[in-house]
Amino acid sequence: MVIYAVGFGAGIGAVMRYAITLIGKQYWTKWPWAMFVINVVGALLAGFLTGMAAGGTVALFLLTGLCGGFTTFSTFTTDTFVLVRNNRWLAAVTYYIVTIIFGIIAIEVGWWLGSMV
Amino acid sequence: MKVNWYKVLQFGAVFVGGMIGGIGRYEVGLWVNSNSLLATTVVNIVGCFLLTFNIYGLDLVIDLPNWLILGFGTGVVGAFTTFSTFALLVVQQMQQPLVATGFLILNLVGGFFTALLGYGAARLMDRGKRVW
Repeated sequence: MVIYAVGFGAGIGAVMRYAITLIGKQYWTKWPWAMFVINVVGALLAGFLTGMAAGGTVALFLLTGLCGGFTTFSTFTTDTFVLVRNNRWLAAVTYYIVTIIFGIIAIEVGWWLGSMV
Repeated sequence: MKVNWYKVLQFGAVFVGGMIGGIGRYEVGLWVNSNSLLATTVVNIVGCFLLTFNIYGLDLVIDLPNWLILGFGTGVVGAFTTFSTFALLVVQQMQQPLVATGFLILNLVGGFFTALLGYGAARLMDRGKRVW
């Protein structure tokens, strides 16, 4: 039962991520902004759920499943790697650091919002 | 309206792949007795290798259909690794700055390094032209 909650959430999250990436490719060709938006929004939701102390199956479905499947670390590093490979070192470092900083801010803001619920 | 069945297949592959990846991530967490720092580091570092290997290697050497590459890369590996839990753990460890910083750097540097390794492994395989 637990596994289905995680799996179903992660499946939905992955499809949402794929759809946003497809849209992002049409508008942003130079920078992987779609992945940035996905990771920051996912972090905001994860912070919110933790702040409101979601637990049990709801947390497994939304936090471990949906947020975990929606956000991704592998594409984040691969996008950075592609920038490095294209000799865009400054862009790679900027993208890496900016995503981390905004991810942490998103967690804090989400947590604060969630704790007010 | 005409249904684009190939698109449906692609989205279906991402969904099923995402389920597998998410469950895999959860299982890794159970194996390490819910030590989230260790579990997240493991899935992220392993996933980074698999993704570049998938993109640059499998695609070139083995003639796999596009939807399978997509289902594995975007679906399985994408959902296996996670950014939200990673960022959440960094914030949760803020009281222990050393742990938080170590975890952050291990994931960032380790992830990038294994992504490089995955690319390197793919190159080697491409040179060997081993075809399954």
